[in-house]
Amino acid sequence: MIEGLTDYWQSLPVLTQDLLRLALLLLPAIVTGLAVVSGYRPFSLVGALLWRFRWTNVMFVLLIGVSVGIGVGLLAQERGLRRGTAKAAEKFDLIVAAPGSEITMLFAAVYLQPSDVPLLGGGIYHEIATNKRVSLAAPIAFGDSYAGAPIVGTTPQFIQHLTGDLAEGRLFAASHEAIAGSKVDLPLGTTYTPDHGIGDAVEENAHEGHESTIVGRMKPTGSPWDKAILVPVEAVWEVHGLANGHTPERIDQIGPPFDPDYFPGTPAVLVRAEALWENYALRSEFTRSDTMAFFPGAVLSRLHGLMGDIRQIMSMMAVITQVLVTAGVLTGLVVLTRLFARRLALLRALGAPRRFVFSVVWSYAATLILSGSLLGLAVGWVSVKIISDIVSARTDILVTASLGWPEFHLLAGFVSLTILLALLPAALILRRPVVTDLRG
Amino acid sequence: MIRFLVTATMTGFFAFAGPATASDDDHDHHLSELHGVKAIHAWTRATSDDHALVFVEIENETDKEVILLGGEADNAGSVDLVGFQLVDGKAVYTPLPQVPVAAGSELHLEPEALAMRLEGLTGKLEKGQEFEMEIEFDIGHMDVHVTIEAADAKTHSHAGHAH
Repeated sequence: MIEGLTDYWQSLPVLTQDLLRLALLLLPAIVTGLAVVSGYRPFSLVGALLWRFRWTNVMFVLLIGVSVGIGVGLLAQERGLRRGTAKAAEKFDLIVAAPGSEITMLFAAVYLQPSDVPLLGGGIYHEIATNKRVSLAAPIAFGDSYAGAPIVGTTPQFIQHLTGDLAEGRLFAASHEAIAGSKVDLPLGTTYTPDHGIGDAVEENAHEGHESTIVGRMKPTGSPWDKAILVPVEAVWEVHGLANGHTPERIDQIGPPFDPDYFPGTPAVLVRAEALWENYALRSEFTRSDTMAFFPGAVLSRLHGLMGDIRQIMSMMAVITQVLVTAGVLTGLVVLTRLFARRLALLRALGAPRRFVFSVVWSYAATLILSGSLLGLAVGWVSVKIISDIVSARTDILVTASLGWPEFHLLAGFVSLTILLALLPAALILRRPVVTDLRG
Repeated sequence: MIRFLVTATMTGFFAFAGPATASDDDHDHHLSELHGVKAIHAWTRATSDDHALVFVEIENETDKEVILLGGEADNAGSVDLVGFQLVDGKAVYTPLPQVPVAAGSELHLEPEALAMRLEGLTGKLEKGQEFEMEIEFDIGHMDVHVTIEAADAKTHSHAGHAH
């Protein structure tokens, strides 16, 4: 029976599953509402109560709204960050580097975070580049910077792979030419001298006499490469006084093939094959004692797995926070009901059934919770946009988060739970002595 | 007296040898071989779903490239070789036609990488149990014992043991 239901559930389209899950989560609230107001019409009286204590009610709705909004906003942000980091790594099929930490190399080669890593020599690069399954083997050499922008040495083929056609200008054709990322604030034609190092350890004017000129600009990639300056890998070697990857007869050549004897080394090589299975074959082939091969997407997925655990904790904390806020609001309502206890006592003295009074108080509390939750959706939607912009600006990774089904499900669960909790103040008001309340 | 000593010695010997033999069997259980190609520590995760991923370490100790093609299992409708990809932030396993294993190299089928995907499982996979399946290479089929680990396992419980 259970297996049959599980099979049926799994056979449903994802959208249907999400809609059904939402309906199931809202079901306790709907059933409670129908049961409480069944046979009565408390809404005009509830409207009057809402208007009579409007400023207090607005405060309660704001409290619930902000609490719900920040909770769902943060959860949506986590998902957006996950998607943004994955998107930024999408073009990096397989990275081959010297043995070490995959995570360090992921951050260095894909997200351009400064790191000291060992180099791969010319022999290994030649072996990779001439492998029959490799369609692109691009050295990625980093370490210098200009005006805070990392300078990355690579090949014209890598730039075409990363961004396709340029937004403006042309590809570099000489070692003194450079391509700017889409967010680098240097116009075409700008000439600069690279600094040695990056960040606090930068040595300005260390490469005096090695000026480069910006000749093109990449299209946006949504990754830290938008704030990088890309130069021929030959330029990176030349400014450090090394051979430039080519024999003296071909000293002006830009890009592959490189001569293994004149190849000074590279921290990483981006490797690409036409088919996914070939990438796996290459990974197997270059996972050995002198090389490390890894899929950035796989490493990222393991990190996302860790984030998934954090997300579960965040979801739990968001629900607890929201329930605590609502509990506070409901406690406030209990106090508030003392203010209109005399009116309710009068109702009961006039012969109003206890269930009618119960439905008035519950409907009043439920209206505040529903209004707060709807406001929370709006706050969440706005906060997601704001936080996305801040995270994108700080990490250079394009984060485009928006509220989705997980947030709607969380909100539905919250509404059902708190609407059940709202039965308490309604029950408490019935325990109050009518005569005492009438006397005030 | 002599008979007692002999009996005691034999009993002690077998009592000592017994567990060692069991341990060897246990280790052999995790190792399969076909014409110089080894498959070690095949495992999957406990699940009540109708699909599961099987992971295994493959060592090609021959001097020729061998090609991993897929597999077969009595408890599954189909077995496909799949490769992990991160598409739009979501984990996706894409069917692969084959993956070559170069001479003298290893190929690890592991989480967030390659795997054998079993579809249409005929029953639950429960932790601690095992089942048999075949791994298909271009050089033939290899029988392997698949250990069922915990639902959230990241590796075979004997991973790191030498065989």
